[in-house]
Amino acid sequence: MTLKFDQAIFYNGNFVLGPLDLQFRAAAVTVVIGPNGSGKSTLLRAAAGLLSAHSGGARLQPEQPRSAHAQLEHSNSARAPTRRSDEDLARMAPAQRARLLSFVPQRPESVAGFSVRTSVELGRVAMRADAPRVQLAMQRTGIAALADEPVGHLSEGQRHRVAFARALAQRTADSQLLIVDEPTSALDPSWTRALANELRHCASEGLAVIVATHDFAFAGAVADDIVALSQGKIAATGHACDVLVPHILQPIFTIPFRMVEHLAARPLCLPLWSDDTQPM
Amino acid sequence: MNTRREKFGWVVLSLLFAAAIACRFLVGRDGAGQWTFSLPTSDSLEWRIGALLSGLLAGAALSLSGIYLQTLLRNPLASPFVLGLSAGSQACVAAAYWIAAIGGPWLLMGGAILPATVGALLALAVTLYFGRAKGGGIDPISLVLSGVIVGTVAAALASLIEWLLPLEMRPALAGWALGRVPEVPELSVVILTTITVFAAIFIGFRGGATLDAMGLSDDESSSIGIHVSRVRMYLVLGSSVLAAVATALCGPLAFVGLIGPHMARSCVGPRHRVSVLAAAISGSTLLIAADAVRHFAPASTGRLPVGVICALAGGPFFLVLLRRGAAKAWMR
Repeated sequence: MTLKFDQAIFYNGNFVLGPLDLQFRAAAVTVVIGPNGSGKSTLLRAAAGLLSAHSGGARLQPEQPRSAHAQLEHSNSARAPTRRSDEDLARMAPAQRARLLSFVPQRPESVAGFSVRTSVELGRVAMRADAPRVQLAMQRTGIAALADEPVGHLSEGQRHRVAFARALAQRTADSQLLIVDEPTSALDPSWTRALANELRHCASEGLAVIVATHDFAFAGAVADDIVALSQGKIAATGHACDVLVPHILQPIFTIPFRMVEHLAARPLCLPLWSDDTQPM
Repeated sequence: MNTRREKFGWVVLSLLFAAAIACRFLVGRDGAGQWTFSLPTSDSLEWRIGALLSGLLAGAALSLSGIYLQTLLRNPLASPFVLGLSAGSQACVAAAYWIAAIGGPWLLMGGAILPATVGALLALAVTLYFGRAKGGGIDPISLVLSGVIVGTVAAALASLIEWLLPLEMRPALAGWALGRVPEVPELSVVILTTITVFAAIFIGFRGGATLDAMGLSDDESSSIGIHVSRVRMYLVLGSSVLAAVATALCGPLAFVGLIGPHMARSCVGPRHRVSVLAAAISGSTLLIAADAVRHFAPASTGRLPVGVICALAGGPFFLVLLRRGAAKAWMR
């Protein structure tokens, strides 16, 4: 299903985000970029249904049927009751929402005394316990060996992986969305790469994955779509190849960018530290 | 690590609990007023069982109130005494006595529990209001500061009201206000406290995972499916009622509600499924032990209020927690 913002406006304190018209595709990774204070975290919280819209709102909608045949099937779907999911995420009961989406905040917090396993198991708090899934989530994030360690003993990067493992453990058959706020800031390159692979994997299983980041190498490596924000408004949106280019990024971040390469159709467009425009 | 350590913790806790009960059961005064260890005689048996029951219930209720407040506020320094709930209860009960003294004793028909609950809720509301940082977040130390001030004001209010009471009503209230474990507890209070304590333990056992999830940031607990504001409201109500029944039974007792949860967690770990029951047992152990220790005071001074022992033992504990930066180390 697609996550849709329809002329949505959100307030977060004095900050205004929107009006936004946006779609986050299923089975794709959408990377949200933008300068500090441009509204990335607000957008992600809104997408996770954690922020009530002033108007509009975040809704999950079934994919538009493409063929006439599909349309026909859609119209006589008397046996399928109206999907409850076509509802403002912020108004949904938390337990119901938790089945549809998982969210990893920028600064995860947990009780320092909880073991890693207990922390990851919390992802299943509103649903049936699922020990194999918890174990798998810990393995995929490389924290299985730390399972009995208290969270307080871990480094920041490891704690980020615990929070990400919790989001993976939370997945159900109904899951549609995975939202991750700045996951790479505390990760070393090898875990950044592993995370990128994991996010691609989740998208390939049909989730709409939304990630905010300042890491352009990471963005280029995972993104199908890009949403670039500036001062609470959409500055640019589209396919990664079309947005991650110097002439679009430069006005948004007000520093020069340089296209480094296209690796397997993945754009690598990096900020320049000096105004020197010599080829690297 | 968990199961092995947890089992060991349960053994330690049970032994301490049994020792405290045995101590309180055996300690007493002989004819000369000197303390002795002896099996109770037929007249003192009933008293000792009454005192044990009071200590068991009030200690458990205080400690449960403490663990729920600590969960609610994600603050290891929180407890019904530190946040002013006990003093709030005390002030409201004193006010109820005063109203009954003016309007007639039938006004106190409901007993002390109702005014105690109102007082605890009021005190918690005021503490939360003033302890909240401007941005909306709660700073653990400001919260404690706000609670201590609310508690001081409420205790002063209680003293003022006591002073307004007719002379013949003062001694009963004054003894209660210092904290004492009654040897002949009021039946209605005992029944209500028992129900509250068992309900609180049951909720901790069944809702353990939900309570654990309250330890995450608001965004995280909401996104894993917790109705955060609803659970908070239950925690506010629950911890207030628990503090109120304990205060109605034993008067305002310091620090049992703070040490109990810490003792429980250091024995069986922080998961609520086990730590809530452990906290109840720890609280009972602490209060029963304090009530036993009380008897070793020189007889010439009369009955030493148990509240004095609690404050003497608990105050330093709080300071150590503060010094160790417990409030900051709690969350990662």
